[in-house]
Amino acid sequence: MTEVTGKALNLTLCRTCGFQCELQARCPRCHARLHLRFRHSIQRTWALLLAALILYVPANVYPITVLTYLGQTSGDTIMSGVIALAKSGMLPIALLVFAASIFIPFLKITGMMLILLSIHFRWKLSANNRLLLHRFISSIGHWSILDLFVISIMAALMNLGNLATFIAGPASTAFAAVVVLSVWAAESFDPRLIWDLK
Amino acid sequence: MACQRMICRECDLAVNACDLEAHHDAFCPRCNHRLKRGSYVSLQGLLALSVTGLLLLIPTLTEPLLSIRMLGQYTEASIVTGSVLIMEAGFPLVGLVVLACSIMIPGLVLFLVTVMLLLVQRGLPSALGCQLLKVYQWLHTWSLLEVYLISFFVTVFKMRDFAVISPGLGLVSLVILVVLELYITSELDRERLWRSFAPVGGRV
Repeated sequence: MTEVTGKALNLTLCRTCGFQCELQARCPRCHARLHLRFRHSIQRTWALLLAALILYVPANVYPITVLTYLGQTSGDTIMSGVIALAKSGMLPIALLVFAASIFIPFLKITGMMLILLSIHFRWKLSANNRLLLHRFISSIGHWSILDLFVISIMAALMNLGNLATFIAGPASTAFAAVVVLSVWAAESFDPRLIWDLK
Repeated sequence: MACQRMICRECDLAVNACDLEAHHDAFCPRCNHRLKRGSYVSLQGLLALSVTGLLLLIPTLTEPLLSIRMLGQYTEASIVTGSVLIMEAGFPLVGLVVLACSIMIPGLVLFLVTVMLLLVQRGLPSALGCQLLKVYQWLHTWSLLEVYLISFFVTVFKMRDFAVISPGLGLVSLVILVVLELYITSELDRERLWRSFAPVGGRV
């Protein structure tokens, strides 16, 4: 079967409203600018990914939570929090937090980089596998925010003045930025570019 | 049976897709992306659900979600307190992200869906509808109520060793709200809304 693409037919889908039409300056339906592919998709995705990668370091090095309990202050990084959870016998929860906070952000950044490099160097990887990877990254990306939600709930619950307080630490801003930037990176990537090289 | 040429959003393949029976979906033969759905829930039904969701926002915001007894003190957690504390502690961006994804965007999404469905009922082109739909499409992926719900369970497990935690009425309404919101965002036929708000001649 010969595969005819929209590009070959000069047909495009509006990125804003999904309207299908011949390539022209503006979408006849919503008047957004039309392009065959997202504009500067690869450059944007690289920029967002590199920013996320840089911020991934402080997000993991600095304490993400600070606990003050009966006058004693202690900070926990993401990893030390996961280890503490595992040691206290809550392995499933520890694995969930590990997956959401460490593994998924790492998978998102490296996975998207793999896709971008494979396009740049025209690696002969299965297009379908790369598309599945992109879909997986896009669908799971938002779950990384779980740890920040947990911190906000615990901060509200453990707000006992001088007795005990629990609050976000310096790594939390970097971590929030990693989550937002990596989701934007996945969104700014145009999956059709994977198929264009065939 | 009427057929039309459709371009796959994910892999750009031109596919001949025919009209579908209800509850049948059409998938791209090359990348398995869903090209179109046979049926959506009725707009009337969706409107009823989104109004219900808006009403449920009230107990979710006002009733306590969790309460805790620790070191002889009793504290209640609501959605807003945690993010305000984080903002006050010097991390305004983190607090803002948490507040936005946990309640502001989910609430706004329900409001937008309600207004858009009311506008569609008039059956007239609507510039306002187009603008709201653009905002909706931009925001709805950041409505993370389901993640928020799971984070409550994580919190309960994390704190169960040194505190007594009991769920509040707010948590019950949050659970219902999560189900409603997931259903509404998956059943909203955006193509139908675009056709109604900005009609054009037949497809190419």
